[in-house]
Amino acid sequence: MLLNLILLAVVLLAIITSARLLMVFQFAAELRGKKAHEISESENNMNALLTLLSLVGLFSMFFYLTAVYYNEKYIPGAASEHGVEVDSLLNLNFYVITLAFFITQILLMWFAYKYRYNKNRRATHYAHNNKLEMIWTVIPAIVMAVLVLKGLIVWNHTTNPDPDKNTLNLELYARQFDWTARYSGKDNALGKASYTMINEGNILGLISSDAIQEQLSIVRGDSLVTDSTVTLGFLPAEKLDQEKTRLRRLIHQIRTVAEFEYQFKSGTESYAASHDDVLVRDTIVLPVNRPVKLHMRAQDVIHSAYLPHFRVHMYCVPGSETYFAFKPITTTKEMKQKLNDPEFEYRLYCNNICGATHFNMMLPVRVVSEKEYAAWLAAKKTFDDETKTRLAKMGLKTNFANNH
Amino acid sequence: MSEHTNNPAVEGHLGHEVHESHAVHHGHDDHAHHGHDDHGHHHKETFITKYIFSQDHKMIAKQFLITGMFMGLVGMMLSIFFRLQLGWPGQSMPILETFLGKWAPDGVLDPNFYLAAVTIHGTILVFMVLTAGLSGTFSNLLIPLQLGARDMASPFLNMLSYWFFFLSSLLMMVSLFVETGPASAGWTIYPPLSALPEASPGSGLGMTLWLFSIIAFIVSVLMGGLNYITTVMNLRTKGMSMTRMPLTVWAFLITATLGLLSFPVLLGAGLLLLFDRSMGTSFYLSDIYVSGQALEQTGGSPVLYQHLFWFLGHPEVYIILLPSLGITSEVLAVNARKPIFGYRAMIGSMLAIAFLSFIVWGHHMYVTGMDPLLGSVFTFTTLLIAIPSAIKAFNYITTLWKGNIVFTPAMLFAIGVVSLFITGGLTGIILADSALDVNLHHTYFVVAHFHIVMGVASMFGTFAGVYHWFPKMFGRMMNKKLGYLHFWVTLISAYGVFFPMHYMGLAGVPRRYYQNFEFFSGFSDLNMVISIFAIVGGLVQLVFVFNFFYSIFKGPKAPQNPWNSSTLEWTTPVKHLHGNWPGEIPTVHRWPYDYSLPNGEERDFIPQDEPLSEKEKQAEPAH
Ligand code: HEM
Ligand SMILES: [Cu+2]
Ligand SMILES: [Cu+2]
Repeated sequence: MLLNLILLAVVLLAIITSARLLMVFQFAAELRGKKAHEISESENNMNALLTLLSLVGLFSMFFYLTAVYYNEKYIPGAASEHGVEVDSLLNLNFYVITLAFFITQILLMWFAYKYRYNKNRRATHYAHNNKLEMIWTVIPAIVMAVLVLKGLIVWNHTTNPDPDKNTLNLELYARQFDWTARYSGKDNALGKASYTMINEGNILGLISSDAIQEQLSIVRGDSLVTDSTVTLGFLPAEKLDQEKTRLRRLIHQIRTVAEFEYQFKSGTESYAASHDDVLVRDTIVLPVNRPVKLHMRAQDVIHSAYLPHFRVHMYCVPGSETYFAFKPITTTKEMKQKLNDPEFEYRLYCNNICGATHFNMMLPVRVVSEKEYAAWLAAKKTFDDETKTRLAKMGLKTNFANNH
Repeated sequence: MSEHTNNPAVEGHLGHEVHESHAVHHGHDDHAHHGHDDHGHHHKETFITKYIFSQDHKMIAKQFLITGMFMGLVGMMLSIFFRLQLGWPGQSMPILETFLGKWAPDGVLDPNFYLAAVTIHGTILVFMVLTAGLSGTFSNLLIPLQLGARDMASPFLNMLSYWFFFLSSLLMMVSLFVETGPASAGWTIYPPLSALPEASPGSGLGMTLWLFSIIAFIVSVLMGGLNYITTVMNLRTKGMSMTRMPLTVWAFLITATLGLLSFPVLLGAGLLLLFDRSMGTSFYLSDIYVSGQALEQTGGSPVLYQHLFWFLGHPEVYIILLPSLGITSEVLAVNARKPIFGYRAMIGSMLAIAFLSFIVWGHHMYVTGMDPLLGSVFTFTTLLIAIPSAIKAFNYITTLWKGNIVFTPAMLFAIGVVSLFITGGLTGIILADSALDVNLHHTYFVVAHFHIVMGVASMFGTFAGVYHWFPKMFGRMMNKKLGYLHFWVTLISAYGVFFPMHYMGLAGVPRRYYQNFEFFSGFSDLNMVISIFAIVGGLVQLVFVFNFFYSIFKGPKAPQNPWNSSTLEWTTPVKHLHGNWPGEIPTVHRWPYDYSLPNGEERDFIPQDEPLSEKEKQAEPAH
């Protein structure tokens, strides 16, 4: 408190002193017969010189930062196939804009300096020159045309990679504030999912016969409890509203899940593709040189899957699925050697503001040989295994719907 | 050269002797008998009608400016709070607790408040400062004065425009004090985060206030814009054809048109969001599971919101930039003592930019899952914008060539605008390329790009405008030495803050991270340096604020035409009148850039209202 008062006093004092000083200066200037707004030649030259010097400052900063930060250590070369193309496009763009940056800033600051006020000279009344203006319309137009063309070619390669039967289907699932990766298992097909199927055990809301049974039991139980709290009517008005909303949502949920049950029982849907899916929540492991197609979903708000080393980035949007396909070409081990950094890891970040600990929503990614990958995956439990374990704990029988 | 060192050469040049004869020419005695078209300055004014509910465009301009400055200081404070966290993550800063209380327990910024600070900082700067504070101030001040009008077409609507802006600012300030905190979903408030109070405390009451604030803001922009356009179209004085308007007025006209066409879309977007928040609709919501419950809403699309938002959002960045470019054109020409180079090309490129700005919004959405073909189209249209932008930059540079440049503080800021516009515009070329944007989207590279090209450049334009037209606004001069100090420290710290951010972005550091040093430890030094520049840059703004208020009361009295400028605003008396000109409104005979004509005269400018000389008439029979 005392500190704040002192601070306040210092600030006030500073303001008063500056005001006094200004008045003195102004008075002195007037005594010397100068108009306050008039700029003396030395002042003018000084600012012209500073303008020229700022060019030096700007370029020194550019060179310093480029030397220190624009290199493999901070910006490792792309570790994916399309990323290599992206990098060379980026380089081309940088050459172009750096050249333009230098030319224009030099002209600007140099002219400002060179043509500083001189009372013996008159400015040249030079209002336009169609030829000149044509030149600097056409040149940027041509440069832009080249950049657009090159850019679109790379964009096309990035978004339409050659089809490959061997492509691995992998889901990235985002929620506040963590990631789950879902491997598609032996069938290389991701099983269906619905947000109404989500519960503590089944974060992704995958649908399988066992999961349906589990969810129905949970949701029906919840709705009974909520229903009785609402009907008993002991709640304060505000709580009561909340519980009513909850009940409405639960009823909507039960209807949807019951529909899945019906689909399954009537044999319209087998919901079997999810059985061999594998859920991973600590590290994503990818086989090198095999195309991966990322399928992205989100549970609550928009997140974004950002894998900068692979030049991969795509929003995860609740209510729809987004995709990004790429091919990792450098293993983590190779990258560690290349960067001479034993700690190096590829990472998946969340890159769309999503709430309090958005900044912490990260998962390491490891790129390994096909063999290591297979071994790693084989050791993982499948979704079906996990669901059965939970069902057993709840005392429910599995495979309840073997009756068709 | 040395013989001139004691010879204040520039003074003779800037002295207003030349102008005085001109002023007399328009003095009111001369035209006293023309009482027929004056209006308004006869009825009595009370304190309230003069300073508060004023309908005089000049007073409204000052109201916009001072409110904008206040909001600017709040926005800047917020940025310093989060820069403290980013520069020294997790370190206890007692000053934070003093200011923020429970939002900074033990002097460490709370992660939720970090996001709120980022959000409100962006909102305030984009809307309250660089839209209202900039357009509101200078459109109001200059459109009638430079066109020779007594006031705006509808002074009453004009007054309402200010008061809706005031209401908007007030609501935004109130939202800082609510229990659950202000809005914290980023200035773009993408749903579902902004739609679900369960997802973030800032999406509760704070978000509701944010939305109401922006609705009031939109009302303000629309009323102001209608007025500006109507005034430009209808109230130009005799002889002021469209192609004799100063480029400032062109910029304000185009800006107002952009606002009129794009802000209503934001209003729609905001209303739908309000419905989703409180009426159970699902425009933006679908398949959401949050805090243990599966919501009923299905079928909406969060990406729809982004289309609507950026349909405003991209034109908005030009709404912010164009007035600054207009001011820059004027200030460069006056102080280089040369006509702006390529007047018509400048107008043409502004029109082209304005048109294109409506068909590029998708470049903010390359990675939302939009069809790649659509991405290609937006890449193409976006890169087209680079062409008119390049024309403008080259024309500015050529305006300096062979000039006779007087470095007033306004001139320095105007040169700064050009430098920043180039630096930031060039990185736009990279971001426009969908293939490259994938990896740069939402990184510090984007932060660097738009702060330099929009944030700092427009701020510089605003400063240029304030230093240049301060004598017109307050009848006194600002202190130029403090102006120089303000300019140089601001320039250095602006580049110091934002230039290094490009490199962080290229390395993949995401924006809006409460802390990023765990994964990007290599940048912790740089982050600290950036924060130091930010603090220095923030402090030096206090010099400006001091200079501003000091000069209002104690600055030396302004002469009639301190910069020897040829535009009409300098023909009005220094002391403000309701109705602007005591006598008849001047008639315009020439374009606004007759500087340094090779006509053998000693003075190097001819005011717009001076009839053509015999020689000129012969040279230009077309007129
Ligand atoms: C050569 C001209 C320009 C081009 C090609 C360009 C391109 C782009 C692109 C593609 C983005 C999206 C980046 C991303 O989010 O991933 C962007 C962001 C942005 N640009 Fe530009 N830009 C240009 C000039 C400007 C100007 C003149 C302004 C403002 C006056 C501006 C303001 C912004 C803002 C505010 C954002 C980011 C908004 C946000 O995400 O919060 N840009 N620009
Ligand atoms: Cu996230
Ligand atoms: Cu844009």
